[in-house]
Amino acid sequence: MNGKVIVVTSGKGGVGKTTTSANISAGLAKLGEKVTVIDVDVGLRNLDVVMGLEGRVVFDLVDVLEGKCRIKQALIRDKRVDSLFLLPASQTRDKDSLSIDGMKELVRQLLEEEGMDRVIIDSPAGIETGFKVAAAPATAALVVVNPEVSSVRDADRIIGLLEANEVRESRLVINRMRPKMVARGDMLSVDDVIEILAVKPIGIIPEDEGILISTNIGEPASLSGATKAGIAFFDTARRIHGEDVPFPKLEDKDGFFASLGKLFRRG
Amino acid sequence: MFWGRRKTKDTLKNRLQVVLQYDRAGLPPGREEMLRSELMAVIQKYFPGAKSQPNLNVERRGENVILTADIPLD
Repeated sequence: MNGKVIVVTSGKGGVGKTTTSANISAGLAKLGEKVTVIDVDVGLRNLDVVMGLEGRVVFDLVDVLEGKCRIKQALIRDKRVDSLFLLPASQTRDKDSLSIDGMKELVRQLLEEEGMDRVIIDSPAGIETGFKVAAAPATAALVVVNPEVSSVRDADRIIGLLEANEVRESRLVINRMRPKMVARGDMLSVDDVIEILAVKPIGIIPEDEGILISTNIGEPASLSGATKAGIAFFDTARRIHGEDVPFPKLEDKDGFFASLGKLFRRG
Repeated sequence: MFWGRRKTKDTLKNRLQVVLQYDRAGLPPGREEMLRSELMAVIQKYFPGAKSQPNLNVERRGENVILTADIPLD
């Protein structure tokens, strides 16, 4: 993906935006990029605990936007990957503290003055202020979708809003795939999701208990490479970084296959 | 294997394709029905012989939402 400012969004809540933001940011940093990930929720702070950085929060996004501190004071540098930074969400409920102009200026400073290669913006669920503020500085988007009715419907809406917001480069992260259910015909396949939404995929992530375990300990799964989902997230980061990584064959241990070879032809 | 068992994901796919058409057009199915009836009433003022229901299509084309209607007048 060429976009240096990527918003991670979905419409529907609970589909894996924060997990995706944490894992993609960590993966890109592991690949050598200097990455800041920003938690743009209004009042709920999640990225810090998912990344295991909760003990080091001093200042947050609203403190920066209101000029109460410098950006550097609010950024938390990850100790596992030294080019990874988190800007935590504010726990104030007041959505008026977030401004589009403020966000754009903050992102500009991160890129031009702090020397960031990439800014990842974790959007809250919904289509209201939080999403608008998160999407405003973005030039690219990761739309996180589960192969499930509400998620796909909401993703379609979000894709329309991103286009209206002039975010030109959107890619799907299809999360929580269950190969056995796909093989039985009880879950939409990757091809089905792509056909319905008409957006190209950049990540295909299987349902994996390892994700819960990784958030329990506060270590992004993409850093350890020990779980299927972690590997899938890291591969997604590699594709964003510019590597040509083939998509996985989804298979379950009973031997049913869902071939993703068609995806190569889609380009 | 699973012969004769309807794949629930196909049901979903059909449902999604229909509901997304309406979502993208910004017109829910119930209101499209009302639009059709009211159009029919207007047409019949000018063409009393018109009896068949108009065929309506509301779709998004790029940035515009377009209504096309096939309206038999006799």
